[in-house]
This record gives sequence, C-alpha cells and structure tokens, in this order.
Amino acid sequence: MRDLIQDERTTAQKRKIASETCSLLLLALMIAILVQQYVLNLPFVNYAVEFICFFGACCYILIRNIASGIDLFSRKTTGIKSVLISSLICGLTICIVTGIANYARYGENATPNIWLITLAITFLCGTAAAFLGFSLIHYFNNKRQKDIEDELDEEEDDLG
Amino acid sequence: MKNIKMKVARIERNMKQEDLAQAVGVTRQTIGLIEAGKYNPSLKLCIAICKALGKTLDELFWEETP
Repeated sequence: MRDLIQDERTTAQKRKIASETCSLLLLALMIAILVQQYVLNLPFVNYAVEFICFFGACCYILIRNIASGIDLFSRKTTGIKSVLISSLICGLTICIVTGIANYARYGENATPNIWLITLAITFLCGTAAAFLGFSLIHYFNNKRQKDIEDELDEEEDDLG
Repeated sequence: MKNIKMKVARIERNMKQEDLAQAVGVTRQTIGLIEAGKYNPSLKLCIAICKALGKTLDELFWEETP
C-alpha cells in the first residue's frame, strides 16, 4: 500500500514548476521574436525557429484545452462579447507594436495624416484577423462543450 | 469505479449535475467525471459535495472492501 501511493504534494509541486517554466519560456520566446523583428530589424529566417516554437506551443495549448473539454469562454452568454473584447485588445496591441516599429523606421519621412491612416488600417486589419481567429476558437470550443453536455445528459438519463 | 452513492444522493435531493456543480463551484463536467469514477476529487471538493448533498464523507466516498 505504501508503495502504491504517490506523494500528491510533490507531484503537484513538480507540475506547478513545469507549468511556470513553460510560461517563462513562452514569454522569453515572445520577447526574442519581438526584439529580433522590431528592434534589430532582422529578416524572418533569423527568428523562424522561435516563431514556429512559440506559435506551435500556443496552438498545442489551445487544442489540448479544447480537446480536454476546458471551457475557454467560461460563460456561454458572454462568449461572443469576450471574442469581441479580445479581438479589440489584440487589434490595439498589434496597432501599437507596429506603430512604434514603423515610427522608428520611417518616422521622419511620413506626414501625420499618413500615420493616422496607416494606424487605422493596421488596427482594423489586426482586429478583423483576431476576430476571425477568436471566432474559430469560440466555434470549436462551443462544439466540444456541446458534445460533452450531450454525453453527460446521456449518462444522467441512463440512471433515471 | 463509479460513485453510485453520490449520484443517488444527488437525485434524492432533486438536483441535476448542473445544480450540484453550481452549489459547489465547479463545472458540470467535474461532477460527471467524479460520478463516473474518472476523476479523484480533492478532500476539499469532497467536503463541499458532502455539505451540498447533506451527507457525510463516509456515506458518499467510503468504499466497503469485500
């Protein structure tokens, strides 16, 4: 019996450490990509590995969460609302990061009007792309949740 | 192993899985998995379930060995 029981506390602690390491690695990868892309102005091939690793890891986390049945948009009623808010935040972030990078590169050559138009287009495109992505995630998440609900309903009816 | 005792206690209280989940503060899936015997809840969650169903830990989670 003594050998069969694993120490839950150490197992939980190990998992927590692994999870924190993963978060730190992802953060480091993101910083590495941004610095190489916008500060050092290096071509894509220089940071392709980091880029693939970062987005690959993000996709894996996303797919695993949805497949495991974890509801990413916890409340169904606020699902679309959170998609919209996330898209706007994403669009704004893209706009700010691209805006700063462009200003550093072409700041002296552009007029304020061109700046505003460029920023507006970047914001709209970024928001639209993010909305598309988040909508897809929202769709698959809801589909999976519905499948699980149906499964649970069946199990609940079985006993009745 | 399925936790039939918990399922019966829930039905006796006229509660659906969703109701119990809300009372305890977890998702319906968690309750479903505990009843199906596919997830081992923590002691904290077991106590919360017992309180919500008005049962003791023994009544819901103790397995009699043959």
